Amino acid sequence: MLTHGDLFALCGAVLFGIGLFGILACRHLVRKVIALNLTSTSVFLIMIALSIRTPDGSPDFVPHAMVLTGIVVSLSATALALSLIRRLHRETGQWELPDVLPFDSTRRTPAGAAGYSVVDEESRVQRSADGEATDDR
Amino acid sequence: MSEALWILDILLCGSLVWLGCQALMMPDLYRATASFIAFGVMMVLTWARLQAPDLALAEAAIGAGITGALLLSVVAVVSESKPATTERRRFWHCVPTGMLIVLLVPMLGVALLSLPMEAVGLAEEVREHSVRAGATNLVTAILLNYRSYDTLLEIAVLLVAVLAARSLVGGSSRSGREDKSFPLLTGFVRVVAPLMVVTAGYVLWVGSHEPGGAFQSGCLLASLGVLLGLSGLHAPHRLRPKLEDLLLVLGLAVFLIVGVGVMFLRRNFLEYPPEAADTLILWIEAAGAASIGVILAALFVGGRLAGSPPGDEGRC
Repeated sequence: MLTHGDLFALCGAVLFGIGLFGILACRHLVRKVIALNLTSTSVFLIMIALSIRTPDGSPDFVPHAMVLTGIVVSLSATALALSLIRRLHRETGQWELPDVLPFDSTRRTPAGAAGYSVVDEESRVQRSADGEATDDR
Repeated sequence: MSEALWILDILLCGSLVWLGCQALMMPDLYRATASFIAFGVMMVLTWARLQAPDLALAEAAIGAGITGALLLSVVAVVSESKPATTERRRFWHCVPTGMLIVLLVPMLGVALLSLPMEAVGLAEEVREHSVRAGATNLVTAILLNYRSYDTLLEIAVLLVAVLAARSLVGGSSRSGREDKSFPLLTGFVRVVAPLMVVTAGYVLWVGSHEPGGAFQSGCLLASLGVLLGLSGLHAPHRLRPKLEDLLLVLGLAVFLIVGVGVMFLRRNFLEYPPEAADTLILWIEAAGAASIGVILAALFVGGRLAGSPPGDEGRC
């Protein structure tokens, strides 16, 4: 006999699968972050759906507090991930991670050596040598 | 009556799954983010349906609000940059991943359904001692007393995130858009800003016996900060960097001071004396709300709220 909590827990499992697929299969980094958020939210949904299973019917509040912590921490993780993506775009001009390439030590920047085809490598080297920081436009 | 509840539940779950798929499959990132924000709003309804009003408040402010705003600000940069060279879609790469997911999700479902019908938790003990814990709202009592160590570390995590964002992005990245002015937005923010401050204070105060508390209040303040930034009504040069840094660490500092201070009364770390528990919780929550507001608003602009006067430097 399926209860309401079970229905939401199954919905959370399906959302977890969707989010996991998004993390693994999406190439654009911002979409990966969205999928990561989806996965976190699905886990919270499963936890709260399971918290209704108390003998007297009123919910168990300990998972509620944990999920509240989890929501705030996942927000900070999202913000940090988006900062990393912005910085990656500023350094390499890309919004996706490259395919795995062998380390190329003849390239002049660390980003180039890691496999990114840097848009304007010469001027970027010059600018970082001058110590000038550019913001993303 | 119960049929209506079942219909509601099925509609909620169906819309969650649909919006989740939309958020990942839309080729346009703006629409994907809009679907994700709508997903957050449906999650608010779901939390309310699952008898978790504190979570509904927090999700409305954070999940649908600040996360959506963060994503939109990055998507704006994405759509401004010239499109990268897109390789041909390697569709067959998705098949092994898809197979993994198709195997994993039913196993997860079976595991969830096979859990015992009635879980043994700590709900009874939490309810019993809630008056001694200092808050009648059980979620606040758990967050600020029973599991106060978790909350302390959570505030520390927020602080680390904003420091890391500062070192990565380093500075106000929004001033490039100040040439546009939106009179409707400006007027709206002028009306709404005092209301948001009062509401944040109320939510903080009422959190001891009703749904609410430090996190929801802090997120309201952060949303206010984001609105001020977006409408151009903020004055970054008025906020001194030292004051901003002080506000960032205030929550963690007050928490630590209280936690260590009770050790001088021959108690353990963070073990509040029962007669003063509610006062201590209120102080910690107030400092925490201020900190969380400043931290989340700073995360939105890239780490640093306080800046130099507009038009002063060539840096954007």
